[in-house]
Amino acid sequence: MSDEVEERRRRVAEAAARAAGAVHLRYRGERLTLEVKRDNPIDYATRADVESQAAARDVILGAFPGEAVVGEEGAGDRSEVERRAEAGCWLIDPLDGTMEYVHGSPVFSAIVSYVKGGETLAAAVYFPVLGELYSAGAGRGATLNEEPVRVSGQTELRSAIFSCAYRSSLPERARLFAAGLAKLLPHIEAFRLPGAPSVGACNVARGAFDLFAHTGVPTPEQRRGGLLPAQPWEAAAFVLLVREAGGAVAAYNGGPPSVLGLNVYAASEALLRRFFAVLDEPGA
Amino acid sequence: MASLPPDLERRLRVAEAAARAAGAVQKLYYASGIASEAKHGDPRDRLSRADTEGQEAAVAVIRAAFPDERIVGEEDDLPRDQLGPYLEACWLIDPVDGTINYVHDFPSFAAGVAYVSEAEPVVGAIYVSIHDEMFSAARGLGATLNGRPIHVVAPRELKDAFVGIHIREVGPAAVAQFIDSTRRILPRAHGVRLLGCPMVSLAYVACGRLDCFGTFSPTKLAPWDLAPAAIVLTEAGGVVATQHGTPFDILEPGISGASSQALLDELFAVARG
Repeated sequence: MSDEVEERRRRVAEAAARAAGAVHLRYRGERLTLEVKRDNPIDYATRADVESQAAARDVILGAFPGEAVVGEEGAGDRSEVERRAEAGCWLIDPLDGTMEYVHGSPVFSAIVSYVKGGETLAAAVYFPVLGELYSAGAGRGATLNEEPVRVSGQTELRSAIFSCAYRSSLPERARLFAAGLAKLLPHIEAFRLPGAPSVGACNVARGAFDLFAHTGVPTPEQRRGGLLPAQPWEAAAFVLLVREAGGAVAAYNGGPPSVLGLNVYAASEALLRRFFAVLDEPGA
Repeated sequence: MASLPPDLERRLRVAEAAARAAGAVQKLYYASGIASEAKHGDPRDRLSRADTEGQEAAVAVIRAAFPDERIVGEEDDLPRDQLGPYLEACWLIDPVDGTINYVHDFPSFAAGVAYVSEAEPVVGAIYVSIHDEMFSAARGLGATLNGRPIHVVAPRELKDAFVGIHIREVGPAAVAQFIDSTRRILPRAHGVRLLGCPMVSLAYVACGRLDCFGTFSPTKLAPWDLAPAAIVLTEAGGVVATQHGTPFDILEPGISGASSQALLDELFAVARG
């Protein structure tokens, strides 16, 4: 692929993420008035999701007619997503941070990426209320509002902020998560559960956080297991963004990351290895 | 009930202006993370400048309006047992609440200013500088976010609630307490967040972004950390309590809060197992 096309893909990813974000801004204003009427906020988010995904899709197809576009809304089954990601397709998560969105928090995003042959070539994450646009192109670095961003480069756990997303109502998952946290907390400077996965990943890319695990602390079983499927429309963008910002990424089992899987994102390779080493110590 | 000064509205505007002034200093030394050279300088140095100069800026605003009143800030470093007499009537300033976030450039930090009468917060302002959000309140006048009235969400059970938690100390006992309570809360709540700044978390309860907030391991919060959040949340229709769930006390080293007493009680019951 020529440089020109790659650069164009990145610009289109940015424009598509902005278009999805603009829809959410519009509904966010309306939601605040509807809130008084006690409308069901979940239904509302869903309607905004569908419209914002359509807005992003229109931008992409306007620039690259006929290309495959897979959105979180109505994505179909996983093998279909994998096949398309191999052949080349656009991935859209129109709203990352639904919980924050429906609760009126300003911290939610729209994510757009282009993947081919298991690699992400372009990615954009847009936080519309904050006015923050992260973007990355393969081999071209990562930016926040057009300015280059870099990871912190932190190598020591004791100075590191570890963040993760977590979403489960299962007591057993909570027990395993807590057991992993109990191992980590004595070694790190701070722990954060900031909300939407894109908050964790983007804050690693810009050097605020030093580690981000996509869904909870990797459990002993996840450390020994194979690649874990995740939300590809999130992971594909995160892998490129953090790597282009100079960070290191690995799957939960410590192996090479997957653009379709659960990964740990870190400010350095050394920090990533120290993180896994603490988790693999014997104990709880 | 504390006796109220007659000029509450004016004190509220002064608290907002003082918090905004401290917030402006925060932004001055905040390395945005955008390839900033300053970011690679000593972050503790940036924090100490934001603390010192932020408090000076807030003090200047208050002095201009109320030249003869007592002002106590985090930077004055007064021990807790000497604060009692001041709290009869004074201004409190926390130039940077959420210091670890500030040092690491995660924008969940705030400047807090309060006016306290008879050990009760009666005016408070919380300015989240990077997001340009001003949460403020005065006794009987309601709470606002950037001038618009805010209110806690309608009461709901923990299973439908968005819960804020916090950990400060990382000694073995504190970690064990945090882990036990977190393990119990996670499967029982709709969602859990740890933003690393109690003042911001409580402001979020006040405007409905969270339903409740609690700390279940030791904290070392001071009156200037607690006071702005306590009055903002109370005026937004919520409840505040100590870290143990007992009635709010400005001299206790912790705080909790919720959209309703029932939810706060449920949070404590679940956290304690």
